[in-house]
Amino acid sequence: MNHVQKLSDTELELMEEIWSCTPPVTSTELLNVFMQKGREWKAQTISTFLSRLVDKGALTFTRNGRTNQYAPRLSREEYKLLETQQVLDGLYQGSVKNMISAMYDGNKLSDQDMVELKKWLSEK
Amino acid sequence: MNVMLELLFTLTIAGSVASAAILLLRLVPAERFPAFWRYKLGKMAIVFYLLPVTIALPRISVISTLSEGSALLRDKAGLQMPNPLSLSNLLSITAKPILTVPKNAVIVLLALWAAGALLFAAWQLYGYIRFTVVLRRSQSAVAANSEAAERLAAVKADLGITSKVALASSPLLQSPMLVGFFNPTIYLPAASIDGLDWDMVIRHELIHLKRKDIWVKAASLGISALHWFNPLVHLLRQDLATWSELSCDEAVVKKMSRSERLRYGQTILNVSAGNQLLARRLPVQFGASLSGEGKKLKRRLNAMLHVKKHSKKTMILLLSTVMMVAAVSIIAAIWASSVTPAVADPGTGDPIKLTGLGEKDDNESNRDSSANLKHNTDITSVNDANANAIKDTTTSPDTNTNATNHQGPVSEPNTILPEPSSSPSAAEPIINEIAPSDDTMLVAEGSNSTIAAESPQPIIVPAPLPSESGKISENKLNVMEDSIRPSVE
Repeated sequence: MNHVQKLSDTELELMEEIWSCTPPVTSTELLNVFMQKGREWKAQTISTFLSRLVDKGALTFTRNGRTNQYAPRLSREEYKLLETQQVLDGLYQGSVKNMISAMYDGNKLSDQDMVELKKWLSEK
Repeated sequence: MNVMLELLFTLTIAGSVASAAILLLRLVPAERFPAFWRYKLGKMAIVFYLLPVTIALPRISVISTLSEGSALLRDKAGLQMPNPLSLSNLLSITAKPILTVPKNAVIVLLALWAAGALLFAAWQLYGYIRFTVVLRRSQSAVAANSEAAERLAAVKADLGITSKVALASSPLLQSPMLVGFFNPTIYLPAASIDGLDWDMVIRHELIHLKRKDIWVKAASLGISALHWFNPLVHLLRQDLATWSELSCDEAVVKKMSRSERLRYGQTILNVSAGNQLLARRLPVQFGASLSGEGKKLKRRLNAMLHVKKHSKKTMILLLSTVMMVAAVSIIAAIWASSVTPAVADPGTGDPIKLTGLGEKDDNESNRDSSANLKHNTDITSVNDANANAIKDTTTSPDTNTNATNHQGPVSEPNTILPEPSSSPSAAEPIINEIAPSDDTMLVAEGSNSTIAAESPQPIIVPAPLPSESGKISENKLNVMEDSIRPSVE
């Protein structure tokens, strides 16, 4: 998994809130923010989404006593960039490959492959 | 419509034979058969898929007969004409197993084909336009005093490229790429990547530019649209992309030392990484096996490291392989154009059936095709005797239709004369299929592009004319029917 997984609309909404707060945030803080906006979320729902965002690589969390503190792993701009990058990659691998010449035209290499190949090349 | 069908059929066969040969060559180790030559073969296969080589040949011969006015032209024609003729003659185009297909079915098939081709092309074009729009929106200029810009000017001069090449950078890219057919731009990744050798990056892209690789790719896409139903085309397209990349590497590193090659390899490796922004740091295990993508890249790097100059002997071997493939493809195309299914009039309502008009015996045609293999690699090199014979007959003043009918069999006496009465009972049903008027039209239509085109030449054309030649046709039919049956059933 070398790229961020696409976020769903709700996940993105949550991320937007986190980006506009000063990190790190806790799930209770987020619950209050949404409450003020008139959206009644259950504490359980929020923490489910937060842990999913961690899984997707968009958030990091640190355990602070009994509460989890969350911080974004990338800025809003970086996320937007990644998104367009993925659109572009998708187009490239789809058909555009056949109309341009890239120096490397395969799928992005994983870290695993990268390390392996660098080692192999340095032994040459 | 019939012409359309024949065209498509011939192109498909010729191209498929060429690409099948190329796919077979995958079995040959990479070091033995350098990428440059494989790429050449691939490009040749594109031509076969795209240009109706065989259909053009008889037409050309007609044109040259028509231009017999001036002596100079006639001399030229004498030189050029015989080959297409002997080509078709030797391969027994005259022998026409015709599979007739109902007209309606042909219309449906052609419509399906056209719809598929349009859809495929539209889809590719849509993707390309979206890609370039997104890329252009993200691009920023590259400073004129940057290292990349300076290298561009230097390498351009080195490679003798005078056309304008723009330089831009985009944060969306990891690998440098060359984009644009008419206003080529080299896009560089905006993020600074460690271990990049700009000279090598730019050289790689400029060699692509110089070789018009983007155009080759576009042509391969074009044939994929035309032949979308043929899986071999799509395999060929993938192969072409691979070989264009590998042969570009070859050209870049040809004169490089080992340490420079290693640096080039590192450059390629460094542009192949994914985006590091969000990469989750999984602990990397050593000794784990490479993914498919990783293996592919390893092969590429390995090939690049082992590029070497080839001896004259290998060159000749390689060249002859290319010519062999060309020859076989042309032969296949000629064969294909002679067996193209004919379009039946829906009025006759006859199902698919087989008719034929004479066939050489197997030995002869085999011998001829092997002789042909040698000859048709060079279109102008001709069997002299053959050329003279044809010249004589074409220029003789009293060529008329009767002469045509008599000379037809004369040119292939072995076939027709030996067994004039072999199994007449078996022959009769077939003759009946040809003799009625609507079916005669059918046969004529099926053979129009070859027989009609060649009819000014008296040698070919054993057309089923009703008069005295009828007997000969019958006998030819017999032979034909016998030799064709096993292959059909």
